[in-house]
Amino acid sequence: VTGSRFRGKVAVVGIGQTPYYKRGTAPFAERKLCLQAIVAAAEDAGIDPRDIDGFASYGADVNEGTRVNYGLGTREVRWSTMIWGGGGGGSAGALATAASAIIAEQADIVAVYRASAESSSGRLLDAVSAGYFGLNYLPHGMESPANSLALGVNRLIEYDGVSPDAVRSLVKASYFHARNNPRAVGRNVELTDDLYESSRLIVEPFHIFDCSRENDGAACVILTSAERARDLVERPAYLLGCAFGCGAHWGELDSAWDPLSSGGFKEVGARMWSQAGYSHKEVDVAQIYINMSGAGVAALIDMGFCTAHNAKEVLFFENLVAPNGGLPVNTGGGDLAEGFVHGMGNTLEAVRQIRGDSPNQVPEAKLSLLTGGPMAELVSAALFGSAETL
Amino acid sequence: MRWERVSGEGIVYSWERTHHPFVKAFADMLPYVNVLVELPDAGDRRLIGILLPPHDAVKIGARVLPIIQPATARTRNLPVLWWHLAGSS
Repeated sequence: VTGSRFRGKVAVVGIGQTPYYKRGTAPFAERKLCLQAIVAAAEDAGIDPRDIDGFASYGADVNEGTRVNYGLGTREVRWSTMIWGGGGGGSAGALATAASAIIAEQADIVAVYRASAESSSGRLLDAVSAGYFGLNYLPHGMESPANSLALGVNRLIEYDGVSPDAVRSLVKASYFHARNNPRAVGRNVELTDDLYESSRLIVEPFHIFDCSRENDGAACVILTSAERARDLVERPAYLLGCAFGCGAHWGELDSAWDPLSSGGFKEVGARMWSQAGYSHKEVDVAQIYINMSGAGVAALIDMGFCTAHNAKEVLFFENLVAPNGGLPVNTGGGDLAEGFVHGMGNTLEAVRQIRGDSPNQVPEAKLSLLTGGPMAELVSAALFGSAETL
Repeated sequence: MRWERVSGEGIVYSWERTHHPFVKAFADMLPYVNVLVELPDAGDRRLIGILLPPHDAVKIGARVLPIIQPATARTRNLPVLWWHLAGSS
């Protein structure tokens, strides 16, 4: 349809994950969690884990192909790549590296994964800050992602005019969906307006419920060619478009981002929609990476779903929840309420919606959007589609 | 190219107030306000800084004036610019 050599050529055929543990409490080392997730995804796809020949990740993951191959019994490592920079901003983009490898005949079956365990790799917060924050942060008492994002989100609310109601609705929708998800760490939280408003302030404008909180765990999806996918599984999740990167006024010097309140998706979003041949209007369900609440709103604005001024009219609670909302988001609970392994869980949930096995399934979902890393130096987006969208 | 004297006045481009002790060296200052200051005298370049109290009236667009802080352990042994709201002292 779009003349793209990328569109629909590759599909996800398997997903796998470990439980999400409270950070620092996983019973296994990070490497083992990673292997468990990859093996689970291979079993889900009905393939032999030894046949996986490509490995792709992002955001300071250390479980490179040549470190998991012995554990998996890999016959040959043919592809092993990381997306540079941007923390979780590369989470959707890792699919593009995997798909590129398959389309270019560099690998046949590629695992995209992220594993994190505090006992092995320390705090994710520290890894992100160390790889990402400039010299100007620490001398001014700024060290956490909450610090870096609050400047952009405050500008989004106070200057651009996004209603805090829209921000809160996105948070509440995430927690609402978690209640139906037995995997979700936040499944027992009933997030009322009162609980949200009275909760501890972290960095204004963020309360604790606005913040993703890192978990120990691992998650993986397995990609292969569309031809092979059709032989393996009943409902492959085809990758219709995927892009990562940043535009001209973006990158490492984050306080110079223009505009600072953007999610950073202007170029990435345009490229992804163009490749996929669809627009935001046709999306059935969206998994939006939420490091911090308001940054997710910025991502939705960038991807075309609303403007700063009408955010409140589009991003209201009833509209954001499955099965009846017009724009169901983070249907597994997302980074806030399902658990946070650097955003990898969003990819699995985006795929589940195409397969039809989400804990909050959107009826007949055919187009499933995924974004990675709003307000990060590099961001990414992907669109999955069912067979009828090809 | 040469050094030029400028007023140093800045405009708050955005701000945040930290309540959680992420950085130990700043724990005694909690809650503290960070500002991202736009510098009209320097082509609207932006600098991160601390806004010294009183800072209840901080908002985007507020005028601020710089105070040079000598290097200390708190500032990671770097000299930095901190700020106060114009009209407060």
